[in-house]
Amino acid sequence: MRSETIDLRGHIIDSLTLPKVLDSILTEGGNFKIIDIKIGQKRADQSCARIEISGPTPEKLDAMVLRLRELGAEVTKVPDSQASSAQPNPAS
Amino acid sequence: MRNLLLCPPDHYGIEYEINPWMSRARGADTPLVQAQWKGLHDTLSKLDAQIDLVPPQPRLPDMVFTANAGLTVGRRFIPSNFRHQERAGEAPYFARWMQEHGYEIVWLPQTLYFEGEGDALFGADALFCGYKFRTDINSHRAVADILGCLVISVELVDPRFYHIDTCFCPLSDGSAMWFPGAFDEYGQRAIRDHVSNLIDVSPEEAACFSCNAVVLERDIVLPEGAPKLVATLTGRGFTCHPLPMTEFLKAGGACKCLTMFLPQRESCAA
Repeated sequence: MRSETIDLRGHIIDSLTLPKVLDSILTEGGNFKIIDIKIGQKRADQSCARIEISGPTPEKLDAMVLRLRELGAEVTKVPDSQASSAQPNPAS
Repeated sequence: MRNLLLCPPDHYGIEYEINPWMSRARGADTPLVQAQWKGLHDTLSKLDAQIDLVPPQPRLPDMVFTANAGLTVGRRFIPSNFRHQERAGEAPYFARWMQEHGYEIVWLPQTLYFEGEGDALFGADALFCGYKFRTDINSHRAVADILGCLVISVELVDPRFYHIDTCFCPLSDGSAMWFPGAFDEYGQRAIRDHVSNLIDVSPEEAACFSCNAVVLERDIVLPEGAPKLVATLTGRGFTCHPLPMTEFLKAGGACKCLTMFLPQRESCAA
């Protein structure tokens, strides 16, 4: 099954962007795997998550990715063989 | 004493349509425009505010809405990157004025749409930023990187309320007034998580842009048409100053859209 990997960065916990992204994936019939997540430790710290997503069809996966980009997700090119060891960009 | 930036409405008019309120068939009445803007200017002047004026420019009718010029924190000014080409020409004039008045200009990447204080309001413990219709969520991250503050990103879902300052208004006591229907469920939850004591505005009164208010400590300058909200605010010890704003509502703006704080906050820790 085709998959894509996205990075999500920002105040994604306080803004509820992370649960929103995950809910959006499930609602559209997709699945996700959180490859890595770093939660900001201080109030102003941003968090980041790398998520591998798959969809029921390639078309639905493309539509899903389009919607997730509107929510701030950046598509990351990670070869499938390296996906599980991939690390997101450090939070700033 | 708060410093505010206004722009005289010399070139204001409904010359294009970039939100659901605008119709070129329903133009603004010029004498009323002048009278309503003067009413706002005079009201703010009598309160705890000092007003600066940026010179209006021909063919930039919405320059009157200075809240969309950018976001000012301390002496730093982040100019807007307007989504619509019709307004993009405003940015250099605002940036030049701010630079001439001693502000450090910090541009966002041009690929990120951001419409300033219209979509970025400090309240309670965070900077609340709206996205979708005008501002990109990715610009919030860039603003957070620049300012080093907590940014709560909320999605706007009703095109009539295309900026966050049309549907959410933080008050000086840490509370806020808002129209929940303008936000998606995640945005509503995020706001509820960070602002205690929210005042819900009815759909009818929200449609009068009653959340588009200028808050100067206990004084609130807002458009006419929200008697229930005014009663609630008065009951909480605020003094409301309702003003006629009909001619600016035709462009989807009112008191707050016509006003930018210099600065909105002295620092993110404030």
